[in-house]
Amino acid sequence: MMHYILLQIVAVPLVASWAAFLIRPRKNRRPAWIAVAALCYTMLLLVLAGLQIYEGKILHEQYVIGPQVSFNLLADGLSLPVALIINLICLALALYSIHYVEHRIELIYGDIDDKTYGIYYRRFFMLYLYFPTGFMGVAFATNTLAVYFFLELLTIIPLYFIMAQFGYSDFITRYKVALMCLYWGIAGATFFLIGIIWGYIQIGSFEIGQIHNLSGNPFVLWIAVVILVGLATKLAIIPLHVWMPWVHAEHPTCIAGLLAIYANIAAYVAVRVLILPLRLDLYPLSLPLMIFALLTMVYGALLTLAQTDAKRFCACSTISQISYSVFGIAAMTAWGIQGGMFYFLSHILGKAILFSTAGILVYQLETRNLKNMGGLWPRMPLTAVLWLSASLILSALPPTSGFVGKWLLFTGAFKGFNSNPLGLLVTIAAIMSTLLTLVYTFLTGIRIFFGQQKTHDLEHPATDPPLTMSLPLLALAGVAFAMGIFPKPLLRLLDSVIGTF
Amino acid sequence: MTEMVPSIKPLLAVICPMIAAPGIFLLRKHANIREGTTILAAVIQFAIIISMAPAILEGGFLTFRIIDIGAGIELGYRVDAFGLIFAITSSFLWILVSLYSIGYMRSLEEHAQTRYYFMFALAIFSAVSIALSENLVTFYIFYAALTLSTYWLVAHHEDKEAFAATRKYLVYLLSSGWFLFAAVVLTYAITGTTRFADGGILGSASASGSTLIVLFVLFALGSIKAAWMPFHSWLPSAMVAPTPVLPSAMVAPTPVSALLHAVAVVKAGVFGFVRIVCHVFGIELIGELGIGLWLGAVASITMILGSFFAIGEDNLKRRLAYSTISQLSYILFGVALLSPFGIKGAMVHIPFHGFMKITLFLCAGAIMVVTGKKEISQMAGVGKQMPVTMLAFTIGALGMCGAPPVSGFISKWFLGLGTIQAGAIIFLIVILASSLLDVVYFFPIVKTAFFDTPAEASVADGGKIRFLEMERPLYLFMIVPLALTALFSVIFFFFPDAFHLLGLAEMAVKNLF
Repeated sequence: MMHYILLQIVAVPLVASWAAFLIRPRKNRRPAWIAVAALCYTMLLLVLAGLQIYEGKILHEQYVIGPQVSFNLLADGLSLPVALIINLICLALALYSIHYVEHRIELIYGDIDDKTYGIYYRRFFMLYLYFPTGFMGVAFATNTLAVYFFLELLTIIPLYFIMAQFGYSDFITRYKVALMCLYWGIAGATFFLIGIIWGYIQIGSFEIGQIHNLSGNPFVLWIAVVILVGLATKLAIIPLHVWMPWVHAEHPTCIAGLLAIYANIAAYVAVRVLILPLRLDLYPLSLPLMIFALLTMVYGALLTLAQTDAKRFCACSTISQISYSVFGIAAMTAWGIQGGMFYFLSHILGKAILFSTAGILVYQLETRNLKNMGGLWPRMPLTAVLWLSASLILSALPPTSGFVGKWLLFTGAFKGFNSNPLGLLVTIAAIMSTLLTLVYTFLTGIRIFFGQQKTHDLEHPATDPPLTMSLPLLALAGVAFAMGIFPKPLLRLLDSVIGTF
Repeated sequence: MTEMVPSIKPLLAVICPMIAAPGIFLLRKHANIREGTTILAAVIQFAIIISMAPAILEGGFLTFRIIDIGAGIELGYRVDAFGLIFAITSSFLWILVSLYSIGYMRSLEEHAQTRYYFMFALAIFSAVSIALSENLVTFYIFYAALTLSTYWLVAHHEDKEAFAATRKYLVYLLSSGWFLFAAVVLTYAITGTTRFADGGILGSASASGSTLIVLFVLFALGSIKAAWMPFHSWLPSAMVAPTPVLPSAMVAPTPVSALLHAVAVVKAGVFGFVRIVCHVFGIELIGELGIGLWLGAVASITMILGSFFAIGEDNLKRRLAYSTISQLSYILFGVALLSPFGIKGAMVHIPFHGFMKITLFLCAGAIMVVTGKKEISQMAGVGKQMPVTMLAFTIGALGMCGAPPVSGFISKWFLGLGTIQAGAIIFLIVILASSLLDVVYFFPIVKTAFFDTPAEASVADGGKIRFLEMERPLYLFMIVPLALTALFSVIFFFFPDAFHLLGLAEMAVKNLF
């Protein structure tokens, strides 16, 4: 089991996806359990790998595919925590999807025979398993071409097909939005590709380990800008955020949490590919990036406040939240980058919980309109607790992981800019804008769970969802709280990569 | 001399209300036991806190580390002389306010009394934690906890006015909390530590003057709890709705107002400000940056204008609220002088003002419960109906004006000496003018209550005066605490070292200079 550990982590979900295809389509939940089993296995492997890395080892696996072409995987203190948390969320959401997808299929396709039902159910989980593969691939890849490949894989297979077939609107809109997502994804990835090819022309390598050779190159800033534009498309930084609310609103809620990862993992790519190797050369980009991040934070939060649709609400919140981690990374100090990465992990945990709780509300109440919700606390206490924990995590209040992340990244920003008046003001403004998150999460939570009961609600009395939906989310909340109180192991891992450059 | 002694006592002291809170919730069906729990916890807490005083007076510090989360985020308590002054004040007043609450809440048959006592315990927990915080992170976290726990106290009535006022309360105090967070992070980024130290921690930092001034502004904005002008308007609104549907609908229950003004929110605000000036920046650095003069100017303006606003208010609680705004600026003012006497005056004004202001608020509440009167213009003859209450009120009012034999004289005396020590005679004039204004807005109340004849009452009662305050035994729960706080205000004049208050202030000042 310890051989090819990283390869297994990347490939096992893919194998499971094909294995699911062998199951005869019936009205049962076997495909779901295959997905869960595969993810449990990779989770175990990740923990084992994590223990080795915690002791100071670095896992590096090389697979020669042909002359000059090899596929390498690297797990160090930065990529492993990212992979671990993402895999955990994938596992939790797979469990959550078991019931949710049944509900979606019934809603979309109505009365269908068991076989057709089985085909759809199986198809969802087959597509779903491409997510962990894509994320693990991005996390562990050692060359930019592989990163590009896995980003494209994510865009094309799971995102496009799941949205097109299990999305929310009618048939036409669903495909339209899926296509829109595809175009934006490909456009972003193409910018990224242009950037890395330009880099290849300059230094003759796609290896991330060689990128530092670009340092001092006259084109380095331009290459960085092209790559950053590509990544900013994924990160939904103003003005490239247009696709995000549409896509998030369209997705079945069970994978909306993964969409937040899909967007935010670009921050990890930026750290890996650009910031860590080329920090000193990119310094001129630091302040402009911070300003863009600040604008996005404020704009995203205001956008969120204006939403009445439970799903768009979460989507707009993602726009704002991702920019927190971008802000930290853009400060380009060790603290800032660590904080940015820490906040990235905290945000995807919190967002997975928030999205899925919104999904629970949609699932139980059969409405997406927040205005139709009110006074649900007595009948959905567990859901209320989930919303509360997600609000705490996203608003970065102690004792959650968000607080540690926010603390680190703003300390980083202040360390870099405490004598630069503009930097100082931008950072203070950014801290103040985090107050908006508190406002929109708690205000909405209070409206949903307290206050007047709505007539819609009285017609469809709702209760807490089945435990396979709520327990995984509670576990995620537990992880986020543990990270907030005992972040030291994680910080040590991050420090082993980021603190030393 | 200054040794750090690890000790469990700070934790025990802080945890009392935290243990009481779930007890209060569990005993919600048995009102007497529930309130008994509150009072028991308060007495134990006070005993533990006062027992720490001797060790502190010998020059030591008691410390207790809760958790070291990492990356500079650590929670811990460190008892020093200044913090202990605040802790003694809040824990002692908690006993009396709890007693008073029994009389007040039951007489008015208020709803949600369990939540009230629960949140009250949490507010005291936060306030004492603020007093004993070791570092800025602990301070910040409990500062926010204080805002949230008092939110439910201010919003107690849950009606339209209450929510309107509490919205304002939250908007001001939460934004302020975020500024404080920014300030804490910036401090940590500059110095690499957040622990309070006697000489300040920023003095040795290599930050430019302009950065430090930005930092000071952030801290000042983070101290909006101190209600300095022009960021004061949340305080009177939280007491009484400004443009009410009903004439002067009351927002916060009176014991809550008393708590807010004397012990918890506003006091924590000024306490925090003094903490930051003395133990984060350090007196020397503030002097070098030339901030003292600005701070003194803001405090002076708040002192004078606050008094003027108070004169214009007919509602007793709102008048008291403006009086608090004015009085708390004495504390900021004392610190701004940057002289030993000024700081000593500021420090003793925290407990002394607490005792006097709580007397005044408790009296206002008692008058409202017993006679139903809220406006000063209606209060003619109240002094004859409620002699004990109005006597206590008079003592509190005398103290506010700085007249002997009430403890307010002592703090004003030190503040006056402080102005001379700092060589700023203009500030001496400010303090005298402000005291004069205090007389202007307090004595009409006393005069109306004692010497004016009510227009209607004598006819209705056949010309006889009824001692309303003794009519129901329940009222004693209000009258006794307010008489006690008034009594203590006088005792502190004759024995300022009762509860070691003066000794602790001297100790704190000695460590600073």
